[in-house]
Amino acid sequence: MTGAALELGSAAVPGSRPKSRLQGRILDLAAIIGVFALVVGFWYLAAIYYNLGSLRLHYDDLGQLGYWNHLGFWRQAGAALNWSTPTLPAPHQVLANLWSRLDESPSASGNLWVDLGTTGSEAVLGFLLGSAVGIALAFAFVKSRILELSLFPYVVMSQTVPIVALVPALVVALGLGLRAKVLIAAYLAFYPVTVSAVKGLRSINPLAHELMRSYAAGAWQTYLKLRLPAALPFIFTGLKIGITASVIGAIIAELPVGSEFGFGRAIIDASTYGQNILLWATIAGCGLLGLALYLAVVGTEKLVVRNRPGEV
Amino acid sequence: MAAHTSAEATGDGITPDLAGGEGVLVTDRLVLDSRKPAADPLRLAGRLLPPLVVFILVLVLWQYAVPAAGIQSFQLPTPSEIWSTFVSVHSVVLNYGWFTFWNEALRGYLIGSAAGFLIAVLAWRFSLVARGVMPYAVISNSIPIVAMAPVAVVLFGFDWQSKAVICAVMCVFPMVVNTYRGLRAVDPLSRELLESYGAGEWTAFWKLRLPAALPYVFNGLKINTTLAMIGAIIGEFFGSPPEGLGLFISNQAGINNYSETWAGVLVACVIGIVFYGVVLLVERRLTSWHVSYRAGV
Repeated sequence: MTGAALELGSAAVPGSRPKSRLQGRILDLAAIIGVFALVVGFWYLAAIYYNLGSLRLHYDDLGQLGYWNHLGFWRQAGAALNWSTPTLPAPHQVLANLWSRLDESPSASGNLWVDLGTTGSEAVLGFLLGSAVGIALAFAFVKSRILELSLFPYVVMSQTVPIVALVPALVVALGLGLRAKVLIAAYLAFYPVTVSAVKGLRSINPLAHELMRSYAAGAWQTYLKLRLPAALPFIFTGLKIGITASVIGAIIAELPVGSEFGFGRAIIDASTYGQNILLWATIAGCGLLGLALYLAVVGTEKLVVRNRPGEV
Repeated sequence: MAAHTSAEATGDGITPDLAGGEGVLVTDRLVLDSRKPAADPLRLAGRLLPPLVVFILVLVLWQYAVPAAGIQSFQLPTPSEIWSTFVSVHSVVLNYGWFTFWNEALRGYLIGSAAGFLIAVLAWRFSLVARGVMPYAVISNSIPIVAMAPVAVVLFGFDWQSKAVICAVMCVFPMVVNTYRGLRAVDPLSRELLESYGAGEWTAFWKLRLPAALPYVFNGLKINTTLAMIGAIIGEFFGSPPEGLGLFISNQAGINNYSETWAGVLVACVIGIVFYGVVLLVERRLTSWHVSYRAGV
């Protein structure tokens, strides 16, 4: 129930009883590095597997298949990992591309900071709007059965609308600017917040509810002192999903033509022109943005949920 | 976060064991009180009527108020236009919808959710797995995996498999995080009870942890229905066989056939709702004991 119990981080894994804190930390670190090494190793193997085939075709086209076969496996693998137009780029190529795009002049559309700022601001504004709407809806649903019965099916339905297909239509109605993207981000973000908040507002201790009733607490007092604190962990679960959803919304809102900057635009460009290194670097950029915003929500959760009085 | 855990009650100054014991008794009574007669036609009508009223209201407003407000039909076609288009293209659109759902969304959903569940159980059982995987599972939840759709098409081809892969990848991590959290959200009192019965770890898993985790598992499963549909449709944006519903929708939008677009959207909506509804039905059957489904709270 406490904030600490909701931690999903590596710090508190139950069932394991390391002899000391230090030993636990070392185990954490070893496990994290181990999984990381496994993933990177697998990625390199996959990169060799995918690129060897297309490099072979490439040399065949050039009529230099004999030269290629003469190289031997290790030099072929080396070539596969450093090819400029790979099917699956190697991790170091993606990192190098990201690094170089940090330096480009701010006006260039390939600049990472510009993409981060564009997509990031769309996502944050959409998240704020979406979670406000989501929490308001949840309160309304818990307060009024008839509202929930009549509207909740449509909350669910709203998410199944493939918003990306509607974006051209939305652009006609809302214009090319920030507004359409923020609305789409908000549209994707509100749903997890609503679902979690409804569940949270309902997940109260029946004993505590009876206690409030026996104190003749009003509806608002019950909400503020019982339902909201009980719902906060659920709401933050929703918010953490919602922030990612709003990043997704901002990216897919940029996919149709008409966006000047942003990760969605970069993804379309890279995938249209088959620039796979740029594609992966852009995806990594999306990941970094999602991670940064997610950590911001986690930080807020720690502040808000820890400071609750009367909780352990 | 099962609402009757003792930790909540300790805040009120009640000793944990007493509060937990009473909580169990009280909740049992609540469940018995709220047990309703099965298949009461009046109740059913009461449940179906409100959404139906809203539905008709929205349709009427859409049909008559939207054109009156000066919104052109290329911006937003009226329901009657969409319906007549749907009737004329229904066999095509329904076939496309079934193709996208059956091959891409459903397979990806099942594979991804099952993988996520297994990873969560492994993480719960082996702390080394939890130490290594959970930080990444949490991080992955914050990453817009749908951005990888074009990569899946590059690596796994234009056919439905690449979209199923994207759906599966999108479904893994919500499932891992929700299930893992659920497996840990166990009333300490119940665990002690099972321990005092001499129940082993796996007995406790089947009799206590899994049921206690179900609300969380279904939270993940419900979120995943949406994610799978989004993944399939956006994946098709980057390359798809011609039977893809997402491809149909984006192509029709691209050539300004907005009522065809909306007919496709209609099918996608219906599939998404039925998908979610089936999962919801299963959840209600399996977790009817959970406090959020009880009346009077």
